Amino acid sequence: MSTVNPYLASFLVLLISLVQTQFLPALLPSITQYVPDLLLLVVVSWALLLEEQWALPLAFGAGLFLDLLALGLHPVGFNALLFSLSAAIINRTAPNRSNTTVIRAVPVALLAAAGYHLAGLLADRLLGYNNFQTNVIFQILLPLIIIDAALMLVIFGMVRLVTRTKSARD
Amino acid sequence: MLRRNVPASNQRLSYGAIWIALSLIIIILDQLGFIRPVEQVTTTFLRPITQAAHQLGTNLSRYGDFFNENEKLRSENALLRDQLREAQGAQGKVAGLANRVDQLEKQLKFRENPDNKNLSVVNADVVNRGTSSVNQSITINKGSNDGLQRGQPVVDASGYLVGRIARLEATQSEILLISDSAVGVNVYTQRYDANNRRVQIQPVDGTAIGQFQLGTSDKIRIERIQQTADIKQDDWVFTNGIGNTYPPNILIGKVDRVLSEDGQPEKSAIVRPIADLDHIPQVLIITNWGDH
Repeated sequence: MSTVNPYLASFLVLLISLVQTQFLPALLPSITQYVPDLLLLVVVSWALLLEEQWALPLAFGAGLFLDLLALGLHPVGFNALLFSLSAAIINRTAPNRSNTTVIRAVPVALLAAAGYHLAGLLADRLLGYNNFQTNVIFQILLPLIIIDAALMLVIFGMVRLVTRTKSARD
Repeated sequence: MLRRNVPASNQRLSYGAIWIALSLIIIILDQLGFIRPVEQVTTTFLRPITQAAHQLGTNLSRYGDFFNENEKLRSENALLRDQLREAQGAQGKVAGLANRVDQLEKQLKFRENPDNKNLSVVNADVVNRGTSSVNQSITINKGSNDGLQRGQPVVDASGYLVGRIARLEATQSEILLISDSAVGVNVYTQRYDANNRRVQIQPVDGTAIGQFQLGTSDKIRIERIQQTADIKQDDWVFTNGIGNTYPPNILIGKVDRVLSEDGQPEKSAIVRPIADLDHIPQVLIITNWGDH
């Protein structure tokens, strides 16, 4: 069974969420809308590689940490909910975890990012912000989803490396 | 004893449901305000590390800006040299340009407007850029503990409109910038002549809407302006105070260009904000003004 060192996982969540919510928006202040959802990609990778008893708590914890780290417009628990939901769906529908390749991970990341942003738009609407517009979808979210999918090539490899390290010791 | 075999798929479903339910409970608790102490503690503990990460990004960004600015200055320098050669035979033209720069600087001293003396403000530092991909926002280090309320207008250190408070926590708040489409500001235009004297025109009233969601370089747009309205490039745009959501006479920006199509009953104007929305280190939150 694939597992991950919880300390290593926590460090990865901390590092990636800092990069996503603090470092990149400050580095690229004029294009903050295209900052990739790195933590989502980590969660998707875990959902593809790990058993549910590991993947789901990690997804929930990562989402909750993201909620607390970056204020945003959505309530605390929003990312925890979406990450848990994404991890549960991916974990349930993706068999043969040990054989998961990056070729499979990329389209899964594409779908996960699309679902994540679609849910974000719906939540915005509930909060009174009407972002459900063609321009938003085609000019911001679609490029962002593609960026996410492309970055999955790197993130998945990194997460798999961390996951395998522990498996080898076991 | 009869042993019940629960299908593995059902077990997985219920295990997933636990985490989803837990997330929903947290959302509800947050809406009821019970999560604020947790947020406060987390923010306090994480602030040094988040600030370090933010500062690292900001410094690297400035480093990049330096090189870009250098290149820009070089090309500007070359352009100015050409212009100077042309202007050598007509010094009056150069004097006119210099005078115009001087007037623009004077107009930017909006802070001296006596209307601004009635404002009660709370100052705050910007601690982060917004992380949402579809809304343009910034996070500041003041919240409900500092007497802030949702919807309060926010200006930069010079008094130029930046946005309004969209979400409030105990020690921090999220500000939606005026370039976001969720922020609409009732505005009027004003014109000044070359001598910085106010030109008597019929001011154009309208609502300035952010354009961030369109993915264009245009920041703000005033739409549905009558074709006959007197509005042109370089007119100044101020809040008009209608609706009491923003104090009147806060400077927003300048009209960059007026868009008018033949046969259309209305025209629109693109407004360039005066506040540098991409690099705001500090802001002032207007907590009270006049009769408000």
